[in-house]
Amino acid sequence: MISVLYLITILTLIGIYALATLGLNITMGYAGQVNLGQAAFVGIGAFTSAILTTSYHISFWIALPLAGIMAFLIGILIGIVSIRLKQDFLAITTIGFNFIVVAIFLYYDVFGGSFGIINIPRPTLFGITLKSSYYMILVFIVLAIAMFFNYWMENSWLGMALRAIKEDEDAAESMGIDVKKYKIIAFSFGAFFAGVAGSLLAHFKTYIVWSDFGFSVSIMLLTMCILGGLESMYGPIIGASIVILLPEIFRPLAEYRLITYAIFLIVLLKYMPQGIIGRGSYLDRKIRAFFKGEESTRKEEDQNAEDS
Amino acid sequence: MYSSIIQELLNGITLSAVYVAIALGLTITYGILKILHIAHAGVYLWGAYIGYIAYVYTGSVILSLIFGALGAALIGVAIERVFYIPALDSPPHITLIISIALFTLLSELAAKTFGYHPKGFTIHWPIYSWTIGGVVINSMQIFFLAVVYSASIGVWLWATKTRMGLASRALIQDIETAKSMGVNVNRLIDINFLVGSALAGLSGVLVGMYYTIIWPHMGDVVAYKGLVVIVLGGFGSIIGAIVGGLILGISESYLIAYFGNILPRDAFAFLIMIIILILRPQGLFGRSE
Repeated sequence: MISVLYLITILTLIGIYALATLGLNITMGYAGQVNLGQAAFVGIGAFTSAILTTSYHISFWIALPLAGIMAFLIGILIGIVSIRLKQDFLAITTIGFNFIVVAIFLYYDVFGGSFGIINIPRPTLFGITLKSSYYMILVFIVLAIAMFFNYWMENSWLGMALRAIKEDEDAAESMGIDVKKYKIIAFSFGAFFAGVAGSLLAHFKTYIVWSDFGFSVSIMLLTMCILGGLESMYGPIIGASIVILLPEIFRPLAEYRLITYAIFLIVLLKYMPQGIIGRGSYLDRKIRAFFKGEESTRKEEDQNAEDS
Repeated sequence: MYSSIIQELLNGITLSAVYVAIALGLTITYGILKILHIAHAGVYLWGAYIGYIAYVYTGSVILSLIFGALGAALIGVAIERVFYIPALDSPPHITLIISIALFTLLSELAAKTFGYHPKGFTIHWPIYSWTIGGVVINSMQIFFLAVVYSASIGVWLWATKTRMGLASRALIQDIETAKSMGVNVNRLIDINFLVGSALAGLSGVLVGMYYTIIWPHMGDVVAYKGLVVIVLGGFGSIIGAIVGGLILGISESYLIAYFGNILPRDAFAFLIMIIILILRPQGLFGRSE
């Protein structure tokens, strides 16, 4: 018999990681900018929020957006760096960024060094401490807001500009799109989501330590993102659910967690690069066809035939 | 004071040995396929374990080195054939992620097979130690440096002076043209991976012998430091890999000796890499396009 509390814990974690993955999907999926250091942004948000609430006794409700803004600002920095670099070198720069951030967490006392920060307070609202199911609802509300933003972005000028840049940078530039600006936006928005997710994670676990945000966590987020499917707002949720649930359902897998991620990534990228519901995947085409009717299906398929 | 400067230089050169060997392998493979071969560190790691097993069964240092190098070479070529060649048309970050996943897979498999705990790897050779003008050096260190650097120099000469090495460099310019000129491209790619991986395996075994332990995460630092070195050296430049490896190892060793741990060594290396990438995206020794 699965206890309700256990179920709530799992669902909360899925919500938090889905949020961080949603951010990664903006950077990597929509804008096509490789980011292999997303866990660092989660960590920046988590530590910002933890330090503000424990050392300065600032309310969670202020610390939460500040965590996002902190990650956002550092995201702008990485975005500026990204302008100068081509894909694979941007990728290794973000790996390096992840290592440096984690090293700073470990080496400076503000971040609690190797012990991390403990006794991070749980948020309260109208005198009620948000625990278990209340906290889960909070996480889901934040996730819903993020998804709403994502939905708005997909159909906005911003989303179109990002996609145009991903397809062909030079063409986008000649169409009058400020490529540099949008690349920085892609990074900083992706980082903002990660920062908020970090804050939610810190106040959920109530203790955090540098190793919670290492490079292997970035790989986990990457697996969620690619497994769910790039350029789809539902992809991150599906990806996060599978990656977190699988080791819980098949207990023996828990011990082979990293091996599982690795195999997932290799097989997916080789045989199913669009993931489960990513743009252009089988499910994505079916869903689009269902909502748009027969005619556009044919158009879509023609387009796909042309692409391949 | 003077002797400590020399001592740190020696330590730096020792530290550099593995950077140079790994970066050389990365350079010749990156040069040809334009793939950042992170899994190279997994090859290095498995080379060390295969060498260790060979040593446990045969008790021979030479056989251990040979088996380590051969085993690593086979793993390297297998990775290239199974994963890299079919993915050549995909964007570079896809192959990079595949390579990172392969590296994770190789280190986790090593951990599951041999255990997470380090294994002692002490060879039976007696160790003599000398103090020359305040600088301490021992026979094991000399053996380690002699083998790693002569193998590295061998690979360097192979890549820049022999017909086959030069043909491989020609591939870097243009695979299609090389094909039409009758160059057996696939065989050349195989050989480059074979040579690079054998060098990685050999240095893996030697690192195990020199530090007297091997552990499943010994590849982690090497995996990403190797990248730092080829960025320093300017992607694909062979002499750049050697100089870059030496610069990194020696500066790390001085930094720690004289400034203590401001940042962990690994973070320091990445910081240098990012700064160089921003200021000179083509690397220190690379030519701009």
